[in-house]
Amino acid sequence: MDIWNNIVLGFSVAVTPFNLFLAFVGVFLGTVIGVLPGIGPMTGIALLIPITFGLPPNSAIILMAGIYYGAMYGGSTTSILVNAPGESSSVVTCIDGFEMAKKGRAGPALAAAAIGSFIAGTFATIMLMILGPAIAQFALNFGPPEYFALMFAGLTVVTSLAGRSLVKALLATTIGLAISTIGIDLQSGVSRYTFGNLEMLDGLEFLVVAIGLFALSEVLANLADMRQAVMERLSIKGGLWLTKEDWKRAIPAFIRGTLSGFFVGGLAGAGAAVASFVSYGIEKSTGKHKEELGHGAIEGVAGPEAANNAAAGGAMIHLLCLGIPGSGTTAIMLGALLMLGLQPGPLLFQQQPDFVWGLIASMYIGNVMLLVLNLPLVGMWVKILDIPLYLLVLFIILFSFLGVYTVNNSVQDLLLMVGFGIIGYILRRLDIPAAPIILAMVLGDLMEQALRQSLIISDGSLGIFVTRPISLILLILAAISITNPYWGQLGAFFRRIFGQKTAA
Amino acid sequence: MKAQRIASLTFTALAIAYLAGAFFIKEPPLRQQLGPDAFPKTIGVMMLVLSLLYVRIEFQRQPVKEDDERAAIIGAEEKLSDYVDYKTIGIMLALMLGYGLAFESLGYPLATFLMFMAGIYVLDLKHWKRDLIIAIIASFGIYFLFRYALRVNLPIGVLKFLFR
Amino acid sequence: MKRVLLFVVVLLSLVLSACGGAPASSYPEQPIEIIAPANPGGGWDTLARTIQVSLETEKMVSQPLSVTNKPGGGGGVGLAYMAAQKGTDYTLVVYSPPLVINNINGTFEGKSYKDLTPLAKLITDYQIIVVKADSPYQTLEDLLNAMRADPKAIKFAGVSSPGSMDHVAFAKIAKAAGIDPKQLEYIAFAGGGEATTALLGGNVTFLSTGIGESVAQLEAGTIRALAITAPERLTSDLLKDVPTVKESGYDVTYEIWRGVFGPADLSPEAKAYWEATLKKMVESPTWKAQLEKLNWRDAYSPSEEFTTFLGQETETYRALLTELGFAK
Repeated sequence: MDIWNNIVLGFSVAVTPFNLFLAFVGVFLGTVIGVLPGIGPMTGIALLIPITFGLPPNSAIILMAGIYYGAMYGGSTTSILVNAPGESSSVVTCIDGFEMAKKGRAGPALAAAAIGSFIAGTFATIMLMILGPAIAQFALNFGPPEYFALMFAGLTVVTSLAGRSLVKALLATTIGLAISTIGIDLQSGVSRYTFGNLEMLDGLEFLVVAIGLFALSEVLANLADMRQAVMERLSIKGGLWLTKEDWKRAIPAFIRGTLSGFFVGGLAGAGAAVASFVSYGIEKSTGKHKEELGHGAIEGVAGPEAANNAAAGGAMIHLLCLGIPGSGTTAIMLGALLMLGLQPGPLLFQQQPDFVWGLIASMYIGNVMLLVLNLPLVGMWVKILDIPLYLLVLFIILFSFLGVYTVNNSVQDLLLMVGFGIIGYILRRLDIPAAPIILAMVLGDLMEQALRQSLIISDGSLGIFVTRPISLILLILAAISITNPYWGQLGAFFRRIFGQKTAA
Repeated sequence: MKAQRIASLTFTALAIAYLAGAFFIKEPPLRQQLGPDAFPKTIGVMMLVLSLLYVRIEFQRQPVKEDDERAAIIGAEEKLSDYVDYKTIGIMLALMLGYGLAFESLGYPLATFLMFMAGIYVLDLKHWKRDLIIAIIASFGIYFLFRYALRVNLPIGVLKFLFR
Repeated sequence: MKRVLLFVVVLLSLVLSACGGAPASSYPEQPIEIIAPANPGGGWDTLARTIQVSLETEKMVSQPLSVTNKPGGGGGVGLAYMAAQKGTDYTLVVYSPPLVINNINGTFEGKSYKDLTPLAKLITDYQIIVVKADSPYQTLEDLLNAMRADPKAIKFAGVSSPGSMDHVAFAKIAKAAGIDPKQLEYIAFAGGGEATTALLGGNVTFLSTGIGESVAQLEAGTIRALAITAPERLTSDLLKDVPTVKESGYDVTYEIWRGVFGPADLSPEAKAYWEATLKKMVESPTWKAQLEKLNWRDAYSPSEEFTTFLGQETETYRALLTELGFAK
């Protein structure tokens, strides 16, 4: 009954006209921010700090959480419509989302992304409410060895991103890994492959590579032959809404994405980008239509979009229950909360119950608002595809530049992005997939650091990875998926775990 | 086919360069279990092996067979897009590079306006009046939106005198 | 194309008449940009935004202030950007000890605080040595004894690479205690969150970090503080029982200062303006309230003193980093 009282308390805080208004402003601004490539939730919240300053803490965090969730929803929009990922966590959505759009099914793709985000966001909020502290406590079991094992297992997803040639996919993976080694090495302070360039010391910005490889290479592919251009064929076929068949395929994917995303983001504390890739791997290995993935399967949107929102919700658990930011965005929220005079941490639930429960209540409200806001927007977004192709191309260039510039305020990033656009176009002609490069870039650095941290802890013994149970389990999963490139066995394993619950 | 062969050799060269670069990584001041060069060396070797495999695959394949195979798999639809308008791509790439270089020096609004109008000039000039208004909104409009609504100062460059 | 040109001219003149033509008045005449030479969320960014918020709330500056993040190269990208603003008066930047450290270890390629105009030291934080609540080590001496017995058995965590603040601060203590600082087993984490997780998960023995980073866990009692590097005990309820390193018998203090800088060759007029404004700011209620919330300690010192202080810091760090092998 305690929880019930707390929920009532929470809603009494959240359902004031002013706070409802702020929640709406937050999710609305968040959606806009998410739609613009580059201007992700991190920048959005940083921009808000001076504005939230005059507000009471309850209202300020409601506004910020709204932005956070809104940006997670909005991030998928440009991925689906124009192959331009808004944030790192929506890169995977490009693969099948944009393919769906090419087939005239942008409407169902956008709707599936919104519904998946809603289901996962609500699930994560419920978990925060009933199991928050317990989950946070369990998350402490993930030290460097477990992290290494998780990243290694995540990297095996690459086999599911391969097109016709495994060699080419693996080659792309090593290129992504190579890119991730650029910059100052965290464990030693030595710079690698920076060629004396100051800006390279922090490594290549993820969005520079992702937008270059996906959005700009798409632009170049269209310019290559404007008469035959791919985007010209985007016009909507069929309805904007999911068909019966879509629902049948999407619902199990929503559930798998939510659970796996929550595991990766909530329990392991890894980011939303990793969660979305893992979810894609699971879809590729378990779904009934797995051969369709990569060619516009709805599971490829529904799963990862649910996963990245579940992971975002998981990161909130770390922030609120441990005071430990699990992602870049929650790190900024932590800073903002401190400026508001609140110290997130294990004591927050006891010391500031109205604050915590007010936030939880506003997260439910925000999720509903986002669903209500986003579903009608689907009709508006798909109209973007009616813009004449040459204007659409110019707008994609403009927003890619604007977005990438606002991340680091760097001209060098813009030039690098154009470079990656050219590389992306060449790779496309060569039939080499770009997604493994991104996956390896996300995982490579984390994996290397975790490996080396683990070896310092164990004084150089590799035994640390097999004597710790969570790490061992993850490595066994990885081994299964490596030994069977078509994921047959692992697929059966996951079907046993997830499939039966969802056999509707 | 020819492109694939060139690419496979390019990747091999890239792998060798990356691997060689790994040997030039400095020794860290404090000794560690795994130094900063271990991971790059491993990646370099993997990259080299894979690119050599790529070379082998491409140089063993029969050219004619490959094209048939491709056509069979991809279908006629995508074969059409083998045509490449190098002139347009080249001009637009130069435009993008120029846009990037001018982003700070000319400033966001002016650089964007010029990029947009140049793009329209290259791609389709039929509706230039409508597009001119769009270009103004996309450049100056977005600048003001960022400056006053989001409080982000995009670079203003040479137009600095306009906005004191 | 003539019509296009005409249109542009009309538009530009409209914009001109709307925004231009401000009357000439004394400094400041233009909006002010505060550079945070790192990503949003970190200490530099928080300081830059706190300055922005304080000056705006107190209405101390007639022109709008904005914060721009110029991350990269441990602050080096921001420093290069400031070098390009040399001789202008409208860009400020915030820095802390990495400004000195990264000059000595070569990251900044020769650039240093001398390429900036120090305006004021604003705040300071101290380093704290914390262990997990159930750790067998009760005092700093316990810990140091264990390290003397077997330096490899004790692993400690901190944020960012070896040779940075968290590492160097403890190396300073170790050296005073007669332990070879090169023998320390330091594990670098990308952020305070990861480092704290590693400590709470029992993967490392202790954590060397800024006090601000550890408040949440200290309040909750999940971690225990062994020592702080302040010259004397702090007065807050949370920290008043934590001994200083000096009390443990080692004459070591370590300060994480943070200050504001202008570009090199700042005009005397602008310099005088910012010295006066920053002095007024640190006395304002908004600023004081913010310090309390953020667990920062006021350490205001004006331009001249700050410049001398930076010279001393450079000497201290050079000696330490040379011993560790990080000096260039």
